[in-house]
Amino acid sequence: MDSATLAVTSLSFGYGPTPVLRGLDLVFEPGLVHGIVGPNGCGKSTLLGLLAGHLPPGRGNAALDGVPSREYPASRLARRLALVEQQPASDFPFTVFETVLMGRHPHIPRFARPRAKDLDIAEKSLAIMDLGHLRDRVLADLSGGERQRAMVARGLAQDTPALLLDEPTASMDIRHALKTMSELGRLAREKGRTVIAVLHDLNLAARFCDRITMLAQGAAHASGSVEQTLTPANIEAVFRVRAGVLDTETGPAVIYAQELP
Amino acid sequence: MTAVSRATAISILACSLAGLVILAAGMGFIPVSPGEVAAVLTDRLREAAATVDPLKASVVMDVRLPRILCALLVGFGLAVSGAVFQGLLLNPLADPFTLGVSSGAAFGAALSLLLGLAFAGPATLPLMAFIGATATLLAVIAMSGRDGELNPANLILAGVIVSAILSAGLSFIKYLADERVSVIVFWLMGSFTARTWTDAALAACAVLPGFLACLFFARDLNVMGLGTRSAKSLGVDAGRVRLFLLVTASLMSAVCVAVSGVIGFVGLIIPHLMRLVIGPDNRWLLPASGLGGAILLLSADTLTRAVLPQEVPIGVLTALIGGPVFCHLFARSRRTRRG
Repeated sequence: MDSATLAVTSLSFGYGPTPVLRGLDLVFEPGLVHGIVGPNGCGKSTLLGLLAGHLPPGRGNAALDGVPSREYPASRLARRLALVEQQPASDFPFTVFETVLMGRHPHIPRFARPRAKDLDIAEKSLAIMDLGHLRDRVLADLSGGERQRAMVARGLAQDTPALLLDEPTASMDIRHALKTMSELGRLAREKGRTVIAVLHDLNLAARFCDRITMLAQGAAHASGSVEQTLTPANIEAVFRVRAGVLDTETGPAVIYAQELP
Repeated sequence: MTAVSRATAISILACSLAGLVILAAGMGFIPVSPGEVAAVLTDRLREAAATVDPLKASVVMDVRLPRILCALLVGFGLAVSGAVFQGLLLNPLADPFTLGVSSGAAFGAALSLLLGLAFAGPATLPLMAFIGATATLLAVIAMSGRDGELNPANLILAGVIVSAILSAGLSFIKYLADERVSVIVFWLMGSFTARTWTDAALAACAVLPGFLACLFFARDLNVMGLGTRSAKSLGVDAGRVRLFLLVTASLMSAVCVAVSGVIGFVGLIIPHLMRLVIGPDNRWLLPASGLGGAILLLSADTLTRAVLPQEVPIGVLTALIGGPVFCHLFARSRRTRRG
């Protein structure tokens, strides 16, 4: 599988007159897990939407391998880049397996039946997310965390060089959150995927991300390795929370002390 | 449900429909046995000399068959477009008339009845109904399509508003119509009385290509059920597909309404019923809904034409026949899900 490099250059965007992103310059290289952290409403999901070509940039551009995401035909982009959303909802009683198999949609020609390879990838994605026993259950009947695992499995099944995830572990239990993040790390290391994940849990970010971008009010406050970015000073400036970063034997751990007025 | 059992379910529906057509063609004031009906049909197909009493042949071919085909095609079209609307609007309560197509058609038809329009001969009424429906659709799309996304919530809201305005207009027309109000009311309730081959051909020209067009996008419709953004990241151009399917399904139901009047229930309940039987996958759901809708409307029309002593409005009968079946299946599916 070939690699994908995503980049934004002097990217600005606003919903109506409200600016959300102001002149971002970032590069997301292949083979790494890129974490995006920041307070609510700082433009994290908007950034993913722009990278995935769902939103038109106000100024600047968001590009995949040097070509603006908006200029790809939808079906071609879907074979290069997958986006796992925060709150997917379906009122129709599709089963977990059917939903995960939809991840293969861009790879299966119209009117063709899924090939053995498609079914195989879908089964593997189910297994990775521990969904084997739920495969024939209706998605809407599952708990929030289980639904989210199915959505991540669908993203994995899409099998693209670039994988964008919006708070993939928000409603998962600790075990599955760790499992999801390890799998993302494995995909980046072993298969050279470009993984970009919006995360709220700074400890998960510290442990599994190779690069972290801290967004504050639509601008990159800090960007770089975990040591460079997740410092008490940065956390205080971005989140307005006093925090300590401890060096433990399992890696860096962020301890929150108290919120600032 | 596996592909094999879904294929079986579809063939059972198709065979039941074929059997029902033969049966319905034999029922009525002059009874014709199923064997004779089959003989009439095969004679016509082979263009062979008639082997059946010419009176019976004429009753079957010229009187009953056009009406049967109309009922079948309208049922098929309404149920398919109902399934498409539910998928498009991500709303299980949607039906072919959610966007105001029926109110538009009713308004157009009532206007033509009130003013006694006859510029296109007997085709004036269906033509006015069709124009009303299409104009309504265009208005709804223009209202909700500003951002180029045709957001489902905006579409539904625009449809409800336009429908409300048109219903008020319709009430006003009824108020003005005095003694002609009964004609308007009866047309609105829908009927297949005295439909001709022209009506059947018209319905076929809209329903069959429309159905194929919807089937072409059936898998995209499945993916769009995950939400617009997810659909986009799976390579479905959600805005364009939505516009295309919306126009196709609306035109299909507009022609159905023009042919038969406003027949509710079929487009709402049949897709639900079929989803319980065959699952939510639109590649199977669309054909199954079409066949189910055809069976329901044809049964109801045959009942009112040949069994009941007097013609009962078809919309009333479809609800009376289909409702209990739906209740039964719905209750059963709730039980098995819990169990």
